[in-house]
Parts: sequence; structure tokens; C-alpha cells
Amino acid sequence: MKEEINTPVCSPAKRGKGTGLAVLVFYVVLLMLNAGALEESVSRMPFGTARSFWLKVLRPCAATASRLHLGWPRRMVETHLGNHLNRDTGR
Amino acid sequence: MHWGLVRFPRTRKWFLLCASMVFYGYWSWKFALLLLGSSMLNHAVAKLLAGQRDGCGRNRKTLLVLAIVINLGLLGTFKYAGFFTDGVLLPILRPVCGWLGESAVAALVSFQESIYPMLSSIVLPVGISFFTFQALSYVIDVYRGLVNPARSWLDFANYLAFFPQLVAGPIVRATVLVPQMEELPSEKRHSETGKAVFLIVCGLFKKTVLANWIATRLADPVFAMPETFSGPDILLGVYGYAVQIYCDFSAYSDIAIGTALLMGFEFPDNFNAPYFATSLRDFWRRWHISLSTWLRDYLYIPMGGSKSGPRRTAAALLVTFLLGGLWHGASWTFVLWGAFHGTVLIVERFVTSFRNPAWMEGRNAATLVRMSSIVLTFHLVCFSWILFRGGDMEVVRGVLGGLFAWRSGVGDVTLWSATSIIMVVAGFSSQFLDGGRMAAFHARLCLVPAWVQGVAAAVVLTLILGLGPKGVAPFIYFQF
Repeated sequence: MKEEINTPVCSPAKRGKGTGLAVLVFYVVLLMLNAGALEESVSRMPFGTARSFWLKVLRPCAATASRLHLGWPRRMVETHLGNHLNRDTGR
Repeated sequence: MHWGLVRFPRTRKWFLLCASMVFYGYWSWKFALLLLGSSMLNHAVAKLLAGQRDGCGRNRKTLLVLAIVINLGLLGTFKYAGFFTDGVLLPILRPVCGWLGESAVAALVSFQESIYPMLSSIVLPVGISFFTFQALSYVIDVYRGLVNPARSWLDFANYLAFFPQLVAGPIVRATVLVPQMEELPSEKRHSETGKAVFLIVCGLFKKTVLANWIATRLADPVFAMPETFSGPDILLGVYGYAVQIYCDFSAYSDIAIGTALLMGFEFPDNFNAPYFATSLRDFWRRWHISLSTWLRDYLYIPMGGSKSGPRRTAAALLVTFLLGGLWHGASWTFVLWGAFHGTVLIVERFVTSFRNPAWMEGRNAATLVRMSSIVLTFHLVCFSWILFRGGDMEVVRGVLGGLFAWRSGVGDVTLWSATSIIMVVAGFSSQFLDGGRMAAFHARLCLVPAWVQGVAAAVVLTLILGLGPKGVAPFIYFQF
């Protein structure tokens, strides 16, 4: 027999708001946690408008993230696991 | 933005279609036009079929055949023209022309010279196999009276081009998605953002960490140069590929289902722990469920299914799986892969038609039989993946030769390591996330505030990015 799961019922507007908030928070937090790595990869792009634009956007984010040590979780995983896993694959 | 337009359903539908077209047209706008053309044609045929529901059966059949021919013609031109010319037509024509004389050989050479540039200019549109099958299922279901044609072309175009499942499935039926496209998610229902985010994050982990690592470290090297690896290494490479293709494809399905769910659309599951299947028949109930049910409903059953005697059933099974193999790719190895599955299914049907002996009835014996069946089925599937992954018969021979001769490899390097075993076992265990196994967890997730879900997903994705390599290979099923 199927297990009955009690989940809250909400209106579409509320549901949409919830989804929108989750997605927005997701992107902001993702940007802040990876701002350093993103800035690094953008700086490797060929010179041009796209590179200048993204650098202008990312530099303040990367500076803030660096001050708040937000790049720490990714660096820890990269150093202790990622680099070991991806050795010799050109990472 | 999709949810922001909740009060303007028509604008929301146009927004969805534009999003899908931008997604598809980013790769090639010409093929976006092809997709739009296909949606117009199939919708027009469906409307005509529905309009003649009480009319002449012959006209309806002609319309249906026309739609099938056009859809399969498109698929055939883009996907099978090269294979048919190179793998079927020319091998037949060469000896015939040789027998006819020099002038025939010269004519064949000039034919080859004119046809090859044309064939090499054909580019396979991404996802054509998937959207063609969706269009076919829609037209056939309207013909059978199982579904009404979509209220408007816009609804049908959204069904056919819906971007989460456009390029690699799942092949969602019209009966499931067209009504959702017509009404759009607006009624009161369970909040499932948590489940959607969980599916997307799990899919990203399976693809970027597990499938990618196993591909670059185990499967790709073994299938690139099988002659340099020892028997145990090849065995690990084959196990690795089995886990890789599962993690890769189920990851795409999870991401597609999760993305659709974020917008309120519900897709059926596409995987249900396939490597825990107790028979090949069971495997096909758990692997790429949307394709296997499509093949069952539109090929196997119309050819007689299991109700027309053992010979007809066997023929239907074999033809279904040969075509299923060919659907995956225009190559003889895919045809062989389909033939292998079809043949084993026929044998399985024959064997299971006998009653189990009495000793199998006990609880311990039944468990033992079940475990052995799972192991046997997994190895049969692994064997078939060699044909699937091989690409050409030379590689298939190399892998099988190394596997069965159990020879030693070149040098002391071995693929067996603690990391490789952990990654293969982790990929294999990810099957526990399939089906309804996580339903209770998904339900609990929806109680977590939306912003916490967003933060958690971002943190997990950051960790995945830290674990994964730079640059990830495309999904395997993109090529189909």
C-alpha cells in the first residue's frame, strides 16, 4: 500500500513566490560561494567586451566573498578531495 | 518569470515556448524552425483526425500513415541516411556492380563521389529521436481516441518543445503533458520546490562527479585501447561503463524532472533502480521507462504482443528490440545490442513458462534465486553495454577478447584502486534514490523554508563543483 504523505497545500501564488525565492537565494549564494573561482576563470577569457563586463560584475562580488572567507568551502573540498580525485585529468 | 506570469496564462504559454525556442535555437536556429514545423504539421494532422472521428476510416488511416511517414522520414533523413548508404546500400551494390562490369563500377564510383559530400553535410538535430517519438505518440493516441487534440497549436508546441525534456527525454506522453500545458499548473497542490531542487542537485552530483570520473578514469581508456588492459581491468571498465551510463542518463532525467517540477509540471519517473532487476523483462520496466513503454505501446502490442501465440510474440519482441537498438544510433553495434536484448527476452519467456520446482518455494531458496537473478541480469546487461559502447566491431572484439581470455595487460598499471571501487559502488548505490524510495524525504523537504532550500542547494552545488573536474563531457543520450 502506498504511504500517505502529509504535505502542506499552498496556493499557486504562494507556491510561485516560494519557488522564486528559493531560486533567487540559490543564485545569490552560489555566486558568492564561487565568486573567486568565477573571477579566475573569467580572467582567462580572451580580451573583449564580454570579459570586461563579467570582470566588472564579478570583482566586487569576489572582493566581498574574500573578505567574508566565503570561498573557503569550495577551496577545502578542492584541496582535500577534488584535486586527489581529478589528478592527471588536466584539472 | 514563469510564476510571475501566473495571472496571464496565454502570455505564460508564449513565454514558455519562447524559452524553449531560445534554448533549442541557441545551438541552431534552423533546427528550431524544423521543430516548429514539426509541431504545426502534427497538430494539423491531429485536428483533422479528431474532426473525422465519426467519418471514413480509410481517410483517417491515410492521414495517420502520412503523419508517420513524414515523422519517420525526417528522422531517417537526418539520422539514418549515412548508415543506410554506407552500411546497407553500398555493401549490396559493390558486388552487384563488380559482377555487371566496368561501366557499372564507374557509375557506382561517381554515385559515391556525389553522395558523400551530401551525407557529410547532414547534421543530426539534437533530440530529434525524442521529439519525433513524442509527436508520433500524440498523433497515434489521437487516432486511437485515447487523447483529444490539444486545444491550440500553442499548447501542442509547448508539449513538443518543452525545454527540460527536449534534447534527451524523458519521452513524456501527450496524455500526461498536453493537459498540463492546456491548464498550466494553477490549482492548489503540494509544494514541491524541495523535491525539485533535490532532484536537480542529485542529478548534478551523479553527472559531474560520478559519471564523469568513471568515464575518464575507467570506461573511456578501456574502450579506447582494450588490447593494452588486462582481463580484470577490462571487467572493471565494463562495470564502470554500466554505472556511468546509468549515472549519466538518470542524472539528465532527474534534472529534467526537477526543472519541470520547479515550474509546476509533473513528469513520470524514467528510472527505477534498473540494476536491481531480477530479469531482463524486469530491467526494461526499470530502465528508460518512457522509451520502453513507448516501444511496448506503439510497436510490441500492435505487432501482436504476448497474446498471439509464442511465435508471434517472439517475432514481435525481436523486431521491437531491433528497432529500439536502431533508435539509439545508426550503427550495426546498436542493432546487435537490440538483437541481444530481444533474443534474451525470448529465451527468458520460454524458460519462465515452466513452473518453478518445489525446492524454490522455500523462503531461503527464494532469496537465493532472487539474488542470483539480480547478479545474472546485471551481467547480461553489462555484456550488452559492450556492444552499445563499442562503436565498432573491432573494439567489441578487443573488449570481449580481453575479458574472456583473461590475459595480462601492458605494463604494471592497473585500474583497480580504492578510489575506483568507491566511485563504482557509489554510482551503483545511487539507484537507492530512484522511484518512490525518497518520497518521505521529499515530503519533509517541502516543510523547509524556501530560502533554506536555496542556500542548501547552493552549498551542495559548490561542493559538487569542488569535487568535479573542470569541463564535463556532454550527456551520453545527447547523441541520440
